[in-house]
Order: sequence, then C-alpha cells, then structure tokens
Amino acid sequence: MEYASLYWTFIRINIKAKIEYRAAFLLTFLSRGIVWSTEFALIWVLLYRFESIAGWGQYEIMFLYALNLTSYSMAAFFCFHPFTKLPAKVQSGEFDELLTKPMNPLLYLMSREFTASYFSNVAFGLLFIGICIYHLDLSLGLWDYAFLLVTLIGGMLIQASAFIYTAIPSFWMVRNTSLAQLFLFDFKDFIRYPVSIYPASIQVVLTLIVPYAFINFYPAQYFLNKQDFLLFHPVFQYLTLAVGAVLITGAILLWRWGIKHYHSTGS
Amino acid sequence: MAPFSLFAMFAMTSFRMHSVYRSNTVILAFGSFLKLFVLMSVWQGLFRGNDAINGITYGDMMLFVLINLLVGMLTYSRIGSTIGDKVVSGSISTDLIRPVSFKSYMIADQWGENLFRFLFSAVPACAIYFVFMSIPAIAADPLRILLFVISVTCGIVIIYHIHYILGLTSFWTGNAYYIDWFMKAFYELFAGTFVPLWFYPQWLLHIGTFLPFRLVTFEPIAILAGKTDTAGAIGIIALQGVWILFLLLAEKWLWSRAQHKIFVQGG
Amino acid sequence: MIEVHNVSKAYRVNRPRESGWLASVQSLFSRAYEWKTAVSDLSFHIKEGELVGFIGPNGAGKSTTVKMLSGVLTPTSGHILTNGIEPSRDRKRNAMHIGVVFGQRSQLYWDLPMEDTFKLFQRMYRIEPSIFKRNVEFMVELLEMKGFYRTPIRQLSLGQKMRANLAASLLHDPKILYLDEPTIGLDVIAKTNIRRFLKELNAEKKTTVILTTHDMDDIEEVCDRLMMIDAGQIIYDGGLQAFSRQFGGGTLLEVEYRGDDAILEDARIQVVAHSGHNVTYQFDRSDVSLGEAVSLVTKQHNLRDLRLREPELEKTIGMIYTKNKGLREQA
Repeated sequence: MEYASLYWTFIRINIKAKIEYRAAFLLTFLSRGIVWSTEFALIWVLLYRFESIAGWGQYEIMFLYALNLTSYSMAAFFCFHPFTKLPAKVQSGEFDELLTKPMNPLLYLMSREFTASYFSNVAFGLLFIGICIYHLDLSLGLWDYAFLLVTLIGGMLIQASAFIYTAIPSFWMVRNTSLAQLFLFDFKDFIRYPVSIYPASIQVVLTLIVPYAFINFYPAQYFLNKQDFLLFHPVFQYLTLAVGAVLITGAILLWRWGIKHYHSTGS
Repeated sequence: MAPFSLFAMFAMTSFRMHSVYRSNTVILAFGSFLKLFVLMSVWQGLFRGNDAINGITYGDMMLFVLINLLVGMLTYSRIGSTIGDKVVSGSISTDLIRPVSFKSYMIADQWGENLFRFLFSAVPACAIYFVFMSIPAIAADPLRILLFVISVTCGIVIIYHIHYILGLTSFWTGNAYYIDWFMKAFYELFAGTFVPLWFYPQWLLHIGTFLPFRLVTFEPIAILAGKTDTAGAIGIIALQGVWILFLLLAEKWLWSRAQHKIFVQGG
Repeated sequence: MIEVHNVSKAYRVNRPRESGWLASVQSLFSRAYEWKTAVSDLSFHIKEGELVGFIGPNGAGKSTTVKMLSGVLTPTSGHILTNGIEPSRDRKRNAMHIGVVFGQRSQLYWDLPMEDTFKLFQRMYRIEPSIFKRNVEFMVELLEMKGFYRTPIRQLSLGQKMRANLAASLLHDPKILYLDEPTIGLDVIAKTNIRRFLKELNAEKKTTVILTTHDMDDIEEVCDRLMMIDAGQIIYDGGLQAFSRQFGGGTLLEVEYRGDDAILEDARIQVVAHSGHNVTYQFDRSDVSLGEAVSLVTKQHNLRDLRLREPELEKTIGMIYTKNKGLREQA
C-alpha cells in the first residue's frame, strides 16, 4: 500500500511536468488523434468495395483494431519509454543510478518514465470501440462491459510483456533496437486482421508462441458472436487475462534474472 | 568538388552509417518480409471468391504490393522532422555555415538511408517472397518501364520537397512534433499506398485527386501495372512536373523567409 | 563504516565481431565474450566521517569499486560491508543509507523545479517532514540555491544542476555519499563551491564522502585520504603529504650558478635536470633538512638565483600512470 501511494506520487509529478507545456500536450493529442483516426478510417476504406474478409465485416475488423490500439496504449502508458529506452540507458550508465535507489527497479522505471501523453491514445481507442459497438448494434449488458474491461486488461498485460521481453536483452549488452521494432510493431501487423486469413502455421504461432491473437481475435468473437476458432477450442475467447497473467509473470521473472546478471557482469 | 559528387559523398556516408549495425539489417529485412506477407494474406482473403473487382485481379494486387514495398523504401522521408528538430534545438545554425546547399545535404542524407533500406530490407524481403511464395507475372513493355522510372523519380522529388517544406514550417511554429504525424496521416490516407485508389469511395477519391500524394507511388505503379495507358501516363508525368515546379517555387519563397527570420532573430 | 575484504570483480565484454554477413547473422544468436578483470583482491577500511578520494587512470577500476560499494554491482568474489549491510545482498536497505551522484546524469525531473523531485524523494526515502524541511533549508542555504530553487531544471547551468543533484542525494541524511567525478565540466567557481560544500557537510553531519576524480584539486581541497587505483589494484592508500613524499621523489631545488661545473655531489641529493648554468636538485626532507641542502648547494659557489619547489601532484600522478603502463606493456 505504501508502494501504491508512492507510485501515485510519481504519476502526479509526471502529469504535472507535462502540463507545464500545455500547447505541446495539445499538439501531441491532436496529431496522434489524427493518425489513429486515419488508420481506423483506412480499414473502412479497405473494406469499402470488398465488404468482408474471411467472414469479418467492416466494423468487425475495425473493432479488432480498436481493441489492439486501446490495450497497446494502456500498456504504453507505463512501458513505452521505460523499456524502449532501456538499451540506451544501460549503455550510458544511467541505469546504474536507478540501482542506487531504495526501490524495485522495474517499478521505479515504470513510474518514473510513465508517459502521460498516451492518455490521448487510450481516449481514441475507447472512442473507436464505442463507434464499433454503435455501428454493429451490439447489445451489451453490464457483465459484457465488465468482460470487455477484463479483456482490455489482459490485452494490456500481453502488450506490456512484449515491451519487457524485448528490452531484457540489453542486460546482456546486446543493443538491438530492431528486435523491439520487430516484435512490438512488425509482428503486431498480423493482428490488424482476423488471424483466420493466415496459414495454419501462422495461426499456431500467433496463438501459442507469440500469443497476440488473444489481444483481439479470440475475445472479439465473444462480443461479435462469432465461431471462428480455427484449430482451437472456443474457450480461448475467455482466456485473454489468463494468457496476459502468465506472460507478465514470465516477463517479471526474466527481468529479475536479467538484473541479477547485470549486477554480476557489468563494470 | 562538383556539386553532384559532393551529393554522392553525403549519400554514401549516410549509407555507410546505416550499415554499421548488420544484425539489425537482418531483422529489418525479416520485418519487411512480415509486412509483405500480412498484406498478401489480406488481399488473398479479400479476393477470395472474386476474380476481379473494378477490373483489378489478385495478380495485379500482388504486383502492386511488391512494387509498393520497393518504391516505398525510396520515397520514405524523415527530412521534415529532422529539419524541425534542428530548428527547435537551434543546431540548424551549424548546418547553415557549411558551404553546401542545406536542401541538397538533407536530401542526400535521406537518399543514402533509403538506398540502404531498399537494398538490404526491401529487396531481400521480396526475394524471400519469390523463393517461398510465387512470382507475379509482369508484362515487360520497355516503354511502360521507361515511363514508370520517370514518374517514380518525379514522385521521389515531390515527396522529398513536401517533407522539406513541412520541415521549414517549424521556423514559424517552433515545434517539430507534428511534422511526422501529420505527414503520416495525410500520406496514408491520400497516397493510395495501403489501399490502392482503385478501391476508394468516389468522394474520397475526389479529394485525393487535388493533392500531390497519389503522384508519389500510386500513379507510377499504376503505369507499370498497365492500368494507365501511354497518353494517361504522359499526362501524369506532366502533372508531376507542374507540382514539382509549384513545390520548388514554394520552397524558394519559404526558404528566403526563413533565412530572413534567422538573420533577424539570430536563429 | 566501509569494510572491503579481498574483493575481485570480473566483467564480460563482447569480443570484437568478425566482419561478413554470415558472422552478423550468427551474432544474432550467439556471441563471443571475453572476461576482463576490473579490480582484483581489493581490501580496505574506511571509518565514519572520512573524506576519501579515488584516483587512477580511465578504466583502472575506480567506478567499478564505487558501483560495488553502492550495490549496483556484485563482486565476483570477496566481501563488502557498508554500514553493517552487504550492499549487493541487501540493495534496497543499503540504498536508504547512501547518497549517490554519478557524474552529470540527472536524477531530477527535467521539466520541473528541483522542489518537486525533492518531494518525491521525501516519499521514496520516507523522510520525516520536520527533518525534510530542515535538510532542504540546510542545502538551499549552503549550496546557495535560493535563486533557482523554483526554476525548472532544464533552465539551470551545469554547476547549478550539479548542486541540485547533490542536494537531492543528501535529503535523507545518508551516512555515506558516493560521488563519481563530481566536478567534471564545471567552471572554477562552481568547482570551489562544491568542494567547500563537501567539507562543510562533512564537518556538520559527519557524512563519509567517497569520490572519484581526475582533478587533483578535488583531492587536495576536499580529501584527507587518497587511494590510488591502477589496473584494478590499490597502489597507494594514505594521506596526501605522505603520497607526495613517497611518489614525488622529494623537494625540488632549482639553482642557477654563475660558473660552470658546479654540480654538488652528495648521495642524498640527486640531480634531476642540468642544462648550462641551471641545475635542478631533488632531495627527501627526511634525509636532508632544507637548511642543510641549501647550505650544501650554496657553500662553494656563486649563485645567481635559487628557487624551492614542491613536486606537483598532477605531474607526479601522470608519471606514475606512465611508468605503470610501461611496466605492464613490458610484461
């Protein structure tokens, strides 16, 4: 509990720093909003003539996009700067200073480098989800909304783990920014569309090895009343949070191992 | 030293700088391949059950996606945000004391990077695709290829100048953040690189017609794919010429205003 | 306060890559490493309230030693106890009792005044409000920060930033303060300010201060104990004057004679330079007293000029570095 209030202090101070530059904050909000809206609209354009892909309609695919964007932004809030900048920090020695503080380094990084401007992403993501729900005329009850929240949190954990896993090699002095680029962005291109359009081997990879399909493809079927479970069991639509929990646990354990390694091999 | 060889020197230096991290290059090529693979799967999914839509076949789309990847690497530009950052940080004054044209230097630098990414990311990605998937049929009509090469070159000149001009606006806005994001949004929406303009709704197409973005990659590819006849192709190239002229004039005017601003305010 | 027993530290470096595309693909999956020794078999004790300066050439192991003391790195072998705590084992508990400033890296929020970071640190180190208030006042007063206490950090000069960083690392009354090159890049006035502050802090709060530096004036003006590390080993540990005596080779006497061939021959007094009428002698004052040396040198000859000089610390140290490097290269 004491930690929780300390982290809240961190978050407040970050927001305060951002508010110092109100114009820049607004500009960020606006320009990011335009980009997300464009991407969102392009899906509409893509399916304008074709109407559907693998049985998924215009707004259904936009719903996939919205789930991905929202959970990504929720994770990026706490993870984008801490973990994408970690390789540079380790190399410059800035990371050493972090280890002289009486706090858990993972939580210290996440709260210190927390990026308030991702608020705009979350806002747009939620807006897009709302637009899809409206256009698809989904009648969701209270429980469904609760499950939506659970799904988003699960998705957030999966996305956060991706950030952490791709940062850990820097403890071994491996500076490879394109690895992060590959897993955080290129690989995630797959789940902009229903996973069922890919060959079975890719479906297996996206379900069991790099389980991004749990971010949107499986849980979306619960809300859209679909039965598109490929080689897998329909129970998968409920598993997002569980998958997220397993991944983040693994990420934290690997992180600890990485730090331990760093303590003993750095100079 | 003759201006051209100086330009080539700058471009080669930038090329070499990007080839330092070789293992990154391997991942970069793999990432490009993934993007290619996703797009191909999407179009395959969209064309399932249809032979041709608006006169476009899946074969046409394969060619479009491949050429688009290759040309896209050459038209990529960070010039706008680089200038913006230089203006905001004030380091532009050191660039201005060099005895070379600032614009040529910026373009040479970008060209070196793009050539590198073209050769080591796009070409290998296409090669992997050819080996493991299939090779699209391309009717090699020499005249068409010649017109394509001319219009692609014009397209590159256009996009570099748009970025350059947008970068110069930061002299007045005092900010660089919006440049990449605005560019990304407008370009994606109106250039027809992701969804070819063939499939756009009429009203959106109309807006796009008046903008230069479609002339950068979409129209050249349409020429190569034989979707635009020779007369149409010459018309496109003429239009590109008009745009280049307009952009050059706009750039000259803005640059003189910007220089004036530097002298008055001391950077 | 600090006890170091037989500590060694090895670290891993990537072996330089072979060129070629195949090698670069390979390097994605496996890498070649080499082990290097940063420090070997280090032992020393530091008492409460000591002001200790670490010097040594780049890569000698100074920073590695400080990082081990502060809990950032784990020794490969040996034991460290600071404040009765083993830093690598109990990193967070140790962190509560230490203050650390590593070079010019800022632990302060760039866009905010130091005040905000201070408040954050108050929570992080669980500092009592009354103590916090007293310490902030103490720091602001002593470091003369009133003028920029509420200015965003990004607008401060290098020296001001350094002072703010120092203050931030001292709010929780750490027993030990570790500084890695605290005066690097600062102007003369800023350097003097920081040195004076460290002295006063030490006098007021009995804070043990350990600093690494390349600037001998830091050592001369702040430290009462000097540790010289080279190639991972302590080659000197003791007071400043004793250091000059041991390595400086003794007091220098520069003499200008009127006539030639007037060189004094005495086993206790060496000739270190001789050109024309100018001769430089060097002697250890424990062997020959100053008065005796001067009278020996002047006894038989006419002098035009005579000057007395103590060896410069900077030069002495440079000589030691070069000598040791030469010895290592021979071996």
